[in-house]
Amino acid sequence: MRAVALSYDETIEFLNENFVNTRVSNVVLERTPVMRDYAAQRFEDGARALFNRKHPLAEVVMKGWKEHSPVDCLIISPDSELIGRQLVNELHEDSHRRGLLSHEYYLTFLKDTLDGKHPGLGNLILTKESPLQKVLDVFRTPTTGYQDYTVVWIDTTEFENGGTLVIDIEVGRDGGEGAFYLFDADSELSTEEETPKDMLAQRWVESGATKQLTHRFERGQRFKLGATGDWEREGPCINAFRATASVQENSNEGTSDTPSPGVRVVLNSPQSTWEILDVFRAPGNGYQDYTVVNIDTTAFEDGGTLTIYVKVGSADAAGSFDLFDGDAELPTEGLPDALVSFWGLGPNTSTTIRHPFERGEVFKLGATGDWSSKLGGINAFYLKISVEEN
Amino acid sequence: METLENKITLNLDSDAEVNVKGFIAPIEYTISNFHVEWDALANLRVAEPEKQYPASVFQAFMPSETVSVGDHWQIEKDNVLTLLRQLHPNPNLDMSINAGDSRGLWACLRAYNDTFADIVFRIHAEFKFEDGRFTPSQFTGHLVMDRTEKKVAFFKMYIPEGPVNFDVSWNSIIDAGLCTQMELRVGTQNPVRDAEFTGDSITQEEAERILIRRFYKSERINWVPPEQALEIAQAQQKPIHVISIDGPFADEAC
Repeated sequence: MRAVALSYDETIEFLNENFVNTRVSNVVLERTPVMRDYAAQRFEDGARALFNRKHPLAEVVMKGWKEHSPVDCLIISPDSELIGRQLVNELHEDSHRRGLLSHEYYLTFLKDTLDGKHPGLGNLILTKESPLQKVLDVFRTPTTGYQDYTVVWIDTTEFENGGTLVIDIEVGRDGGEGAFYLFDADSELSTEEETPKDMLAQRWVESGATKQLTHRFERGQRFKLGATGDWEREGPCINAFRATASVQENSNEGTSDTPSPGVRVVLNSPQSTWEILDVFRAPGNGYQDYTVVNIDTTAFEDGGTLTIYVKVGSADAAGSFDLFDGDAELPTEGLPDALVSFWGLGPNTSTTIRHPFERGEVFKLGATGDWSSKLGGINAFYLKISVEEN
Repeated sequence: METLENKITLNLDSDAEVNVKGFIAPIEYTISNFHVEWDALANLRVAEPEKQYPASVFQAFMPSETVSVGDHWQIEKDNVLTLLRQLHPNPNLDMSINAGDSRGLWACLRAYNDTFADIVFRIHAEFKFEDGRFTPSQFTGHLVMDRTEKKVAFFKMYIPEGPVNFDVSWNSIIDAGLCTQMELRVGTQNPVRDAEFTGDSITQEEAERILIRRFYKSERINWVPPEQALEIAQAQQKPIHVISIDGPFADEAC
């Protein structure tokens, strides 16, 4: 860190001009249990009197820590709000992703904090070159009030003509369901409102499930996604979530296509594999009740082979899976006119669906209960979707 | 503009002998308990508690040219290694972990008068063990030269205090801790501590800043103590840039 990011003239000058610079010892702040034990022995003489865990700055620093990070670079406003974070262990990867050298990237990080972009705080910056970004984090059940937000900042300012923000949210299997609220970036997040009054959109996501939250915006802007646990749940609970945010851009002509319902995955060369966990419902004999997964392969201009590994959960209902063109109207009854289908996949069994395509396009995969399964029966399904490029 | 009048030459009487005492206190603090589990660290003791050296060994700390207060120069390596072997038989100045700014031995003339010259220094070194290494945060200290007698009046080279002040690697696993005393010493009391150096001195802190900037370019950043940062930020309405770090930032124990 010292030599990699903080030894360049431009960065040093920028830091001296725009920031108050300080460094704190994680040992003094007893960051880990072993450091706590060490500090208890080491500092009996009151050596930490001037700066310790109770100092107002230390309290903000400790809130900014990311687990298992040996060095956090934090930016804190004069009002003691955490406004930026860069983990040293992620510096190389973050720099690489932006196509910058580490010291160039760190300077960009510093500038982004001054521009109010809250870099490193679950911040997803969506651009036309990178219209899809992911973040992995945790939410907690609130111990007081109704919400204890983990905040993900989402920046769509590059999409000047507006568009539709699509956020696929997968929640971990550790028992706790999560509430996800989308706000304007400058909204104050209250922990006391049972239902946040300023929210733009919301979604409850059960443990182990994937749900989608969408919001149409007229001009590029920044948002906050607040993730919190169920306040009615007894006992503390922490669960993981992964949010995958993407933008479907409005065209200059002002068309107003509404996004297809269902989960949307975008496959491209950097990410040619996706995993989805969701549920289907049995529609009764002769009907369809599709859970839809939109699969965008448009990045593969020369075509390829779409491969979908499907596994059905252990509940009673069997599943049927139909792959359609993106512009197909999915039927609600009768035999589907699909590109490829696999029907009657029983509990705890799996299959693989393959479909070669000549040019990248959007597909819809419909998952529904088998006609012979009991009406209303629900079962989980797992998909591993990949493309092998031509 | 500097004139020859405020420059001095520092040469020791090479015929003199210097008696050096070495100390290493048993290590009582490590974060991951290596001082208990690793025999080499648990049994780390000074190799030779007392040793005679020719004064020429200490000439290594002297500048090769005339200098004035605040000037800095590189210390000659071989004689420093000779001294460090009194602490442990395998010192190494080519640091195993080198972030690009880790290696070096620098000295600075802090003050002088007709009787004494006070040289402050900073040395980065490590000790190689059979199954690991021991890296002090730094060796700092003073060499006070008696200008009249051309002798070493006082010498102390030691690891300074800190939350942790050394870093160790044992079979490639890292720990850090505190060594309360690791030093080489000539004499018992620094004779210039309370002496007057009107006009031809800089403070200890200024000398240390000159030296640390020879190693770490990041020390050109205006760092402030954490207990003052919030107040300064509120007064200047600037955000605070905080490095929260397991080890020390501006030494080698990280």
